[in-house]
Amino acid sequence: MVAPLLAAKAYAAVQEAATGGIAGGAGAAAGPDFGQMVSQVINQTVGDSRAAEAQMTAQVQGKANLIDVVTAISSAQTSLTTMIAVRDQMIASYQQIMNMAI
Amino acid sequence: MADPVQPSNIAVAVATSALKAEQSRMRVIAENLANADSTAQTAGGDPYRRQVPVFQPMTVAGAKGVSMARVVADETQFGSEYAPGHPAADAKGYVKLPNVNPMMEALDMRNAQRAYQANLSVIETAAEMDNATLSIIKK
Repeated sequence: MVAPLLAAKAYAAVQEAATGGIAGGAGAAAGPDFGQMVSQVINQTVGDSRAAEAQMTAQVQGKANLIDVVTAISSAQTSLTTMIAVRDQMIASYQQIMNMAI
Repeated sequence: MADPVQPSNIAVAVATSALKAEQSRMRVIAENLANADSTAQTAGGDPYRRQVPVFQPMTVAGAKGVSMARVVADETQFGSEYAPGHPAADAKGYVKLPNVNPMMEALDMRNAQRAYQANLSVIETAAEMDNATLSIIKK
């Protein structure tokens, strides 16, 4: 009973923010914007990949634990697939907008 | 150099701590097995004493993981064997033998292996769950 109500409230809030943003210009949008969120996700992915690479290098030099290497790689893999899925979804929405008949 | 990466999934972080703990336990078992025949260096001295790993809960990413708290000595009696020619033999010709029972160590090792596999399955399942969630937006 509660979840759909919350979703409806969240939707209303988003709609309000969106219309406010259009009416009041760029400065009126409340909360973190979508671009910021995407760049945050990308940064996290890059960070995870770097950490995984560092672990791999350390492993080759005999300095790292195998468990750390495997979890780092698995973590990087998960962030990368998440990032790619979000990117695909984003591009698909842009394409849908571009294909709109005006 | 490279610090261990804290997995973003808490279940994975907890299972990782358990993997490390089991690895340490495996090390202790290996030490016990390796020294199953290590006698004293001096005549009449004490031989290798069996070590027992002690686990304790440890906070990992806000959850309860596990770590090997310490290794304690097994205080059970040493065995002895009559071998007057042995350098570690006492005045009566008896050599004290380590209190390591290879059969017990083998069972402990099997236990450690099972626990390790169980925690690996946790990591695998957690990754599968993440992927299943992602499949909602993947096409």
